[in-house]
Amino acid sequence: MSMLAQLLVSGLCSSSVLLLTSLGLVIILGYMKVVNLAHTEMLMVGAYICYYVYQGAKLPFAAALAIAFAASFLFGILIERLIICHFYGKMSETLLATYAISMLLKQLALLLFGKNYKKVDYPTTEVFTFGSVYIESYKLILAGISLLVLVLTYIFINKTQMGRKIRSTTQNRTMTECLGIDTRMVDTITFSYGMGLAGLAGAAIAPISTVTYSLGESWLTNTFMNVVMGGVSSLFGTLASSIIIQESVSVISGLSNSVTAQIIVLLVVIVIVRLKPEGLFTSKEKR
Amino acid sequence: MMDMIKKIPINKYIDFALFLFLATFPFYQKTYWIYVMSGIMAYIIFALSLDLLWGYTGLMSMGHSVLFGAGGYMIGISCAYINHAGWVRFDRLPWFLALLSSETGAFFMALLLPAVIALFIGIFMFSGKIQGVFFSLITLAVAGIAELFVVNQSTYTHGDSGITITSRTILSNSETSRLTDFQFYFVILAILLAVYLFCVLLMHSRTGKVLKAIRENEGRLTFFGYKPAAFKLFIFVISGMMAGLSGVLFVRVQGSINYTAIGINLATLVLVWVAVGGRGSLTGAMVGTIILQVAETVLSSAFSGVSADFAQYWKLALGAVILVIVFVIPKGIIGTIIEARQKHRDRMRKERIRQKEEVRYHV
Amino acid sequence: MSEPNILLEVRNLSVEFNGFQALTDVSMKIYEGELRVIIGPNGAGKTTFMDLVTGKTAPTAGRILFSGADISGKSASDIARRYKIGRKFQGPNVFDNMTVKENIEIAAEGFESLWRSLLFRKSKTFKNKVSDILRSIDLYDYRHFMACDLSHGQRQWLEIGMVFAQNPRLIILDEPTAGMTADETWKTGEMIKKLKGTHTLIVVEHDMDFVRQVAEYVTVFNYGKLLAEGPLEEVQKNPEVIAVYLKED
Repeated sequence: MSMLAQLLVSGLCSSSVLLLTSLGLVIILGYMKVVNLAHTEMLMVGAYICYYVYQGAKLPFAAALAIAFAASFLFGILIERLIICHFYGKMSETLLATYAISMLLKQLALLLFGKNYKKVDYPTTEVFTFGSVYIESYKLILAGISLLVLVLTYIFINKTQMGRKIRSTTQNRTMTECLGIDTRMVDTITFSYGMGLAGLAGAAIAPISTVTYSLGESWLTNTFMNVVMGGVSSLFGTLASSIIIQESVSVISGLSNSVTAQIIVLLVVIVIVRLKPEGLFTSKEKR
Repeated sequence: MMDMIKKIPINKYIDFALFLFLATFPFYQKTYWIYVMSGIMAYIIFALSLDLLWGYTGLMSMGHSVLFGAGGYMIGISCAYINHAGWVRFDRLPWFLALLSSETGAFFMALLLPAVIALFIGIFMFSGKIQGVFFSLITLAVAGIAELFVVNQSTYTHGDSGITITSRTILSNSETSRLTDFQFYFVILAILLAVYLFCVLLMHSRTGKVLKAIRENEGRLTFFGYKPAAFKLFIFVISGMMAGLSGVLFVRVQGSINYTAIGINLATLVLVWVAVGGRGSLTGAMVGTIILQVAETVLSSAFSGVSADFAQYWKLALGAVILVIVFVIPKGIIGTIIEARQKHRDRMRKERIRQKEEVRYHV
Repeated sequence: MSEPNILLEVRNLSVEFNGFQALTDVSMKIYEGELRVIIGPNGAGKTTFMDLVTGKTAPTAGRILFSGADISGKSASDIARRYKIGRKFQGPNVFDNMTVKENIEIAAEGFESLWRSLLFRKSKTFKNKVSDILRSIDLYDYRHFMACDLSHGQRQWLEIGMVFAQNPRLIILDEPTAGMTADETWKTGEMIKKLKGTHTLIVVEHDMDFVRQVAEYVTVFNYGKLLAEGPLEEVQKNPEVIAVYLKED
């Protein structure tokens, strides 16, 4: 019983990590309908930034997060303007272009930083114990960060003027342009925000990951499936979906091993997505 | 006769030149390059299988390597079992892999397993009304799962070390009936030619045209009485078997197989080959694969002395090449050539029509 | 003289989407060999009506009978293949990266199943049929052009040609002259008039000149309901119809 409690608790912690790493994709895949294969490479970029800023330059951890967000945001502006904006609506081209970007990022990282794994220390090292269940304090902080980023993103999209522009552009571009809004600028901001979120997530997960050029690879399938199942543009849908996925993996891995658990859960997610491609938690669009 | 020759599309000439090149290649090349080109030919068959699915039918599979690797692993596991490879600890094969105890059985399984996987995925996906992007994302997920699965089932697959096989034949695992590199090259070339002719026949037939129509406007097709799902399933299974066949050839040439043959990296790489060459012409798939793989081999031997990091520089260059292609020639090398030819021909035709109308209205 | 058979009959047809009532209690009879024109303001339910008859949408109430058989809710491919109802979309809706000739060939009836398609061999009759259709839509000289390289009017005709190739018993044309020049519109009208008697047609249109060129019997839709039905002169004089639709007349 106590093992179950432990599994559930660790599951919740991994859920928050999955949520955090998926949020950028909700924006780019969900709102912009851009299949961004470079998304998980931004996690890698954020992790390296964290290594050099926090581990290397010994700046506060929060600064590492902020710098990772800012740098990724700026990078997003660069590639959106140079590359991505030319291929909106063309899926094959976008896929190839973002794949090329992800390849370039990976190989640059390998060339610049080498093959050795880098390690980032935990910002906090206490471990809390509740009965027979233990949680590392950093995992709690990570959960807090994800929820905070989720809420801030929600506010940004739904309560600010920029967010309103984003929503109107993605729902009816022509009309938005008729209202005098610069949709190209909106696209750039939206895309860069999504990239920024990915970079931020990467920095946040640096302490619990092996920081290496291939960090992004293991996240690709999970983040995409998570976002699609949650209802591609639904923030809270992705929260629910993260919890469902990671709790299931956690519990099943208690019974067998973690790889089998991942495979089983991924297969179930595929079935769910096929049966309900609009996601588990989208509200039906009014036509 | 001249009319018939005029009707031959320009890319068929390139195909002919390509096969001529491949047929004469071993006569002036060293063993190393014969070995390399044999592997490339296996990859060409793989790229052709993707072109049928993506280029002609519009189904962008981001996990085609699963079908390739499934074929390859059937041969690998069978070989390891029959030859009692050192790492093999299991006495009996599971019932569904029973055929792997014989070499011909393994070859059969190498075509059957990918076909069954394609059948399952196809029935699962095409029976619903989901859009193309979901097909791509789900096949991507399947590739991710396959990679995990293969490494996890190390009892049969030797985990991330992969399986090494020793024989150089199609159907046999014995040490003695090895073909020479030269002979084996021509066996593969013959298979490639047969596969190519099959693809040409199929794609120029009415079925091929229906598949193109599915790519162009699947919804409209239903109002003409078609059930696209049946056609999509058909081509997916055919494509799967071809991919499995290419996996067999690959393992036989390479002498080994590991999880990289079934995972996301190869799946995305084959998409690049077909995209660079140009999809939907068969020629593009072949040309793209040859150019990129030859370039990689040439540059790698040129640079291996200079820098141990060649693989990284190559991938960097590849990324840049992809971006250039997507910007400058989005239809790929062959696609752009075909388009230019079509435009030229259209101009000639328009001129002829104009002349006809002049005659008609000036009498 | 015996009354011609009823080819298409809808009885109390209704359909609702998410609370919005798109069609309410529509009943109509189309006779074999007839050319029926349907007019009405935008949003009146004309396209929805066509969607129901061709199997794109299923009705929420009522029945659709084709030659006596109940086809309500059947799939689009069934209706096209078994019952032979052909539809030209408000379009044009063709296969862009295929040649004109290939477009016609794909639409040609009789080879829709995977099996038939694999066994297909181009016979002389087939080639002649395709050429005949190409000539009748004035695209024979353009047969090797890609559909996307044609002009708008030509693409409309291509789709009309494709529907002919389907050889349907009932042809539904959704605004076939949309975007055409006056000349092209007139040509299309003559093309359609030639089909009357040998084929049954339903034409949905907005261009009243075109309607006057081809129509005899007209049905008027409004707000998802049948507003009026009758010979063109009668309908044109109907005050309700004038108020709702024919304001300029």
